[in-house]
Amino acid sequence: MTQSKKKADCGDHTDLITDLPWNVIDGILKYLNIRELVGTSILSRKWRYMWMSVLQLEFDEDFFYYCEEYYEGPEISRIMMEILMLHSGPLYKFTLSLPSDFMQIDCLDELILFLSTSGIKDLELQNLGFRTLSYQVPSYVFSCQELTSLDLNGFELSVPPNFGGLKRLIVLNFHLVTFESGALEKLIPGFPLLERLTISFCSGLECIDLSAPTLKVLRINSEGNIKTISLKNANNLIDFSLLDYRDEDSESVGVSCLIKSLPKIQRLVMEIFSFYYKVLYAAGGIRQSLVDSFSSLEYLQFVGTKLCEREGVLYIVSVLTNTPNLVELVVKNYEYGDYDDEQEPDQTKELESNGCCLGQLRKVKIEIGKLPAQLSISRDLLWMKRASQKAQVEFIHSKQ
Amino acid sequence: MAAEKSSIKIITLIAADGSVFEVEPNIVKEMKTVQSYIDELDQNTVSIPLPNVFGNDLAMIIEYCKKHASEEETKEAKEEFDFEFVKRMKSDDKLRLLQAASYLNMESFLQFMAKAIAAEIENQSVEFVRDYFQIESDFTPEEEAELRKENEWAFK
Repeated sequence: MTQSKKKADCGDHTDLITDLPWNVIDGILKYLNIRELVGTSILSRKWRYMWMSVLQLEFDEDFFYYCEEYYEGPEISRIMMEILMLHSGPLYKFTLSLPSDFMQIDCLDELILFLSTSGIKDLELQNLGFRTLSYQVPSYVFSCQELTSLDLNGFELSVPPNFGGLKRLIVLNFHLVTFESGALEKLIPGFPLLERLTISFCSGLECIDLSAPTLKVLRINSEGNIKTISLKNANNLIDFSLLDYRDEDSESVGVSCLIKSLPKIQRLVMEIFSFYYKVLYAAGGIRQSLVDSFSSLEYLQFVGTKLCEREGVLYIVSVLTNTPNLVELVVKNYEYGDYDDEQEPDQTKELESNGCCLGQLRKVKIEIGKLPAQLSISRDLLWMKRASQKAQVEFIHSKQ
Repeated sequence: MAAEKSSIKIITLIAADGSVFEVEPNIVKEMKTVQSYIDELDQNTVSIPLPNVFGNDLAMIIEYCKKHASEEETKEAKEEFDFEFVKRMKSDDKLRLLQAASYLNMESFLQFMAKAIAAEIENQSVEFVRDYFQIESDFTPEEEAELRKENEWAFK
């Protein structure tokens, strides 16, 4: 860096910031919004080009709201492209957040094409106005070969015909993305290093059928549109959470999870209605292929209604029979009111059989809404003599 | 601790105004300038002059390092500490601490100060920013007007 070369130009005056190393100045600039950033160009001569070397740029909602006051869509596009053209050197992170109720922007393709030549590593595209205005994910996204992290929110996604994969991608998040049929399955094999995948409230994905041998973290949030999740070769998965917020009155059968083996799984979170547990249990799913597949599991969380019903308890217990290294167990039941079923099935016989020793269990948290019958679930779960004596057990009776 | 290649127990830091601070080795780990100095020496006690850092500032930096090096403190307690730490600083304290952090080559403290300073100039006019950093504009009024016009959108 050849700053301070022309120090004589400014006379003897030294200010409090200009001559600090670039990493310090960049450290401040990265917290400024794009308007403040461009504003620094008129501070003094030395500052004129400084902002153009920042490593990250963000066009956030405030940028668009601000521009909307003065400009039409095409002009806003022009301003955005101009800023990118002025930028020099590598640009590692780029974020775009189109606000809801916003006019159409037509520079997306051009913008991403430009980024694909700037060594972009971290790309975040959000269309918060997805309900009224739809955008396709620009196909140039898949030309950004340096990408390690990609975040798409509120876009429609189809796979471009010349899709050749992103060889460095590690983190991939989809939120409110509408997939073209089969797109997810076509994409995933193109990411040979993928470790973290989030699929959150997306549509066009009735069946998720993935083979992802490098995947470590998988989060799926659904509003009831996913029917089956089939994971093959998930040998490196350590963290899996499935949240399904379905309308309880919905007629659909619920999600079934077909996972052959999870030898490294450490954290498992299932937040779904109880009748899905029934489905999981009846269909075998996780349970039947469990034999040694939960040996690394340390954290287990089940959330759902009617967890106290026989099938729910049996499902949890069937998982617990194969978790010798479990440290923390959380069971939450969000069902409130009086229990209408007087009969309390005697489950203890079944529960006692074939258990592994839960010698590592340190923390058990059971949160229930209904008393007294729901206590049976707690009692039954803890009936197992195998729980560690050191385990800290917490019961919470929440009355909504 | 396995890595006890040298048995330094106490490090003495001497600030620009001559005030002396005695700290444990784990406190200065974040100060890479100091740490690399220690690494080169093979002595039981070290005293290090820091001619670019004043005592008051060094005291604050050490306080920050102690809190963040502590393994007993929770993440929340550290965040709470950071919040209060920024709150009791004046604007020019922040700039001096930023310079000290840069000189001491402290990564996370530098980040922390940079963020605090960015918050000071957020949503402020060019004039305010110039004043805050004591930057003297060397543009003629005509040049500045020209530049404002080039990126007109940003100066509405």
